Amino acid sequence: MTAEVLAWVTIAGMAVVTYLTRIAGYLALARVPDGGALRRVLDQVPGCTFAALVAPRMVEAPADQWLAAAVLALALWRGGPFLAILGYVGTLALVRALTG
Amino acid sequence: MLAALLVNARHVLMGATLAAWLRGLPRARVLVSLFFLVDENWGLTVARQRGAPAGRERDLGFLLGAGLLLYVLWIAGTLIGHLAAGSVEDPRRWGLDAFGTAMFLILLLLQWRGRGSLPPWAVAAGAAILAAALLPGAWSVLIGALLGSLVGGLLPARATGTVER
Repeated sequence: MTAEVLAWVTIAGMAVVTYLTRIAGYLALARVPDGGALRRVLDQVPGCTFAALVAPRMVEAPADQWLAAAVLALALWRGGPFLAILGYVGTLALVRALTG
Repeated sequence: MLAALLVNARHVLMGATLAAWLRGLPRARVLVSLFFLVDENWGLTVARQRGAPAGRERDLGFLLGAGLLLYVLWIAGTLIGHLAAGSVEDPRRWGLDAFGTAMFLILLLLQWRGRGSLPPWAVAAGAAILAAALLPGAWSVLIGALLGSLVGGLLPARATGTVER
């Protein structure tokens, strides 16, 4: 196999693997009765997934990003997602412009 | 391909959270829609299904529509980034480097359900930070999400303030 063919095969394989992960959870539970402890665990998955995505990044984040995150939270609460993004990026740009 | 499996393993969890929600819908339609399942439309979908009026909670079109939009924007954004590479000398100056974190922060905060969310989130965050320090790649997301959900879901309902729906 040439390197180019190998690259395409790998990309195709990754696409298939990715799709399989996206349908696996649905297919596994499609016939499992809903409710009880399983439901309570599943209800926690969204928040915990994003917490697990954000936490390691924030630990390594500089102080200006923490400030921006605080602005984001306030803007999201008072004005919604669009303002939250504006507030976040705006805070970062402002702090970095001021501090060089 | 193993890397793809690891990075995408959280989709298994994400699909599982939607399984009950998707029950009774035509399977072919569900399988097509799940092709477009990514963090963002999943987060918005689960956040939206809470507090939706009865009968409107199961909106597969929202998941698919948001997924398609994200798909197009992602490709377009990548293309623009590729064509314009070099014209932005320093993404840091505009705060663009930390954009992904902002996205996830918003999606996280949209899941807030009162003080009861704190214990599972703290477990998830702590486990993820620890895992990120010790293990390579995407393990931290998987480990954090699993541990946090298990602790949050299996603790007594009163302790986590879980609201009956």
